[in-house]
Amino acid sequence: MKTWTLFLFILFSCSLLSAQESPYSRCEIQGEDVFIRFHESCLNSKNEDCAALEDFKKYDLPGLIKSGAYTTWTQDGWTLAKTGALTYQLHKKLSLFDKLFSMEDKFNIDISYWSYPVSERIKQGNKPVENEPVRVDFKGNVEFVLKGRGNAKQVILSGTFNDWNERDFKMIKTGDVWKLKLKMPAGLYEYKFIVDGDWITDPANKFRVQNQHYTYNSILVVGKDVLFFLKGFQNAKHVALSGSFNNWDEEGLPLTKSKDGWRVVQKIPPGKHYYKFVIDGREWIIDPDNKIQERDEGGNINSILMVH
Amino acid sequence: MLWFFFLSLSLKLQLLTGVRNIVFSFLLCLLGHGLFAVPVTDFRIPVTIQRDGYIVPFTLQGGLIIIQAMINDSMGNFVIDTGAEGLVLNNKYYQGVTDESRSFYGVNGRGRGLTVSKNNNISAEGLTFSGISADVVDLSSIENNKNIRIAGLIGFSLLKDFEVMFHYRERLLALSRVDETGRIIDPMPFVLDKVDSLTFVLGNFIPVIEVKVNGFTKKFGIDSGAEINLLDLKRSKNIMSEFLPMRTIRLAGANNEENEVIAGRLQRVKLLDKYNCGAMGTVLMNMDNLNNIYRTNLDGILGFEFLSPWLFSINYKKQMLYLHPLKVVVP
Repeated sequence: MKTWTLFLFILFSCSLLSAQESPYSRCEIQGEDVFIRFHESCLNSKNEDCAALEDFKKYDLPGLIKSGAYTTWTQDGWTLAKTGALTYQLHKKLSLFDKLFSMEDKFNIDISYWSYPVSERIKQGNKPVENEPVRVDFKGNVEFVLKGRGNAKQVILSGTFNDWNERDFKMIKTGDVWKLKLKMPAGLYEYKFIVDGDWITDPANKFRVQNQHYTYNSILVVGKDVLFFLKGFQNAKHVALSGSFNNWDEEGLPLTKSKDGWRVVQKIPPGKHYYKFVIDGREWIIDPDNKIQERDEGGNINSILMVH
Repeated sequence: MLWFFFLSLSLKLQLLTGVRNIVFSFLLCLLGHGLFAVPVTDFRIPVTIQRDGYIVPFTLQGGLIIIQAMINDSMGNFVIDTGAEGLVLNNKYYQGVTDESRSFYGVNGRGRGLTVSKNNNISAEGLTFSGISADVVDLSSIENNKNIRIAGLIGFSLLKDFEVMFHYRERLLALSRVDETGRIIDPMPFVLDKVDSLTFVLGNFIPVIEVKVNGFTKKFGIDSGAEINLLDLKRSKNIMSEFLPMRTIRLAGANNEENEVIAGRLQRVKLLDKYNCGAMGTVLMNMDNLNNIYRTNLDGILGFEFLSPWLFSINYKKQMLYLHPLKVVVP
């Protein structure tokens, strides 16, 4: 009996400790009142669950709480009250948020307040560059390689990314291999090598497209490798990925079964994407390991992937 | 099904650009089957050299549509801003003369004595406007916030003679010139079905639509220059349950004083009683003076958060907002 009592006491203490340590801050509107309710641990935390307190740094709330002066404190319409052992609430009348709209407001609001965190599914490295011109960079995200032209005197890389410039992107010879690394934003590109004045496609790349001269250009896709993983579902015969990035294709992109679940790596362009997994062609489910979800324009809940 | 989508897209591309893309089309079909190691997940509607309409690519700075345009022989970045009256130029780069007869509705001004510049020429992707008058104002707030040089804003008076498609996914504007009745004179080389339409009225110069929020009808201005939706504090009491507050933020007000506003998400916004919008980033503020600017009792402004998940076209002459399917349709 004593053992059970001790066990329950430890269990209770642990759960209490765990509850006390979890930081939170919540902004709520109730009728004519605005409340920001928070746990004391949020006062000095940069945790995203404490974001509702971000705007209050200038008030020195930790100092007010420590000194006990919060009971009489009021500033910009805000008051502060204790609601529990380690919990507090800020209060202000809704009518006091009366900032008058001006046309510049729409340009001054920082959209990043609403941004979703970048998905952990995005593998590091192979990062395309957004909103920057393509440039030669030995740390670039794309390497062009031309083998078998060791006798050439000069090889130039030319493509849609540099308006088919015939001079600037000179490839560097290492042994018998010509190489060049570029920093490139995500996108679909066409390119060719100019070997001592002769325009050739990339012999190592089978992606080609016919151009207006009735010859071919090589094709390059630059995106981010994103790992999609669905844990479990070992009894499923087929799992596919469908989302806004493949036009919600009903057949979807097949995932490969492994010991612990299903996975596929897909190149995804930057932006906000919706997706779901399709189990055996019938059941559409959101990603159970992705807490970022949103209703789409059809009212359905989808998992969200942000690629930056 | 995926191969069918790519085949459809391929046929579309073939129609658009002829023989050149046959191999490319085949390639796309194969990619749809996942036969190659590098799948194409991104594609572009090709820009054609025929003058069937105008496709103007844009980049997004946050939620702002930025196009590059030639203004009086120099290249500059312009924000496409359906909430602006016409052409607006940045006084950091352009000079004007004071026009006492005009009121200023623009970015940072209130009252009379607007600085204007006349006879400007502006062109982008073959689309040219000549002899255009522009308001010359301080746009430093956009430049500072976006960390980009902004030559100006392009608003209503330059867009009103077109049906304008805002294609955020492909990052392009498709502009088809329309006649006085709104009939398209030069259709785009690709055809996208219009699955639905919504009438709007012009509130001075901004398209104003009615939507339902939790069953209540609300009037919103469509403003591509607003990254976040704006909701009037006083007129929104009956839909406050659908505004999910996140935090307070500070905005500069008159005399550089900082004012608190509430940032959150607006949910259960419904178009045409059947299309549900996802929860959208929205700020609550006092918008009493919005009615002076747009001469309409607006409940708020819908911007990038509202526009970007959809595929809309605005026809100013017909005063219609068209809704396109997100899948490419073979004509």
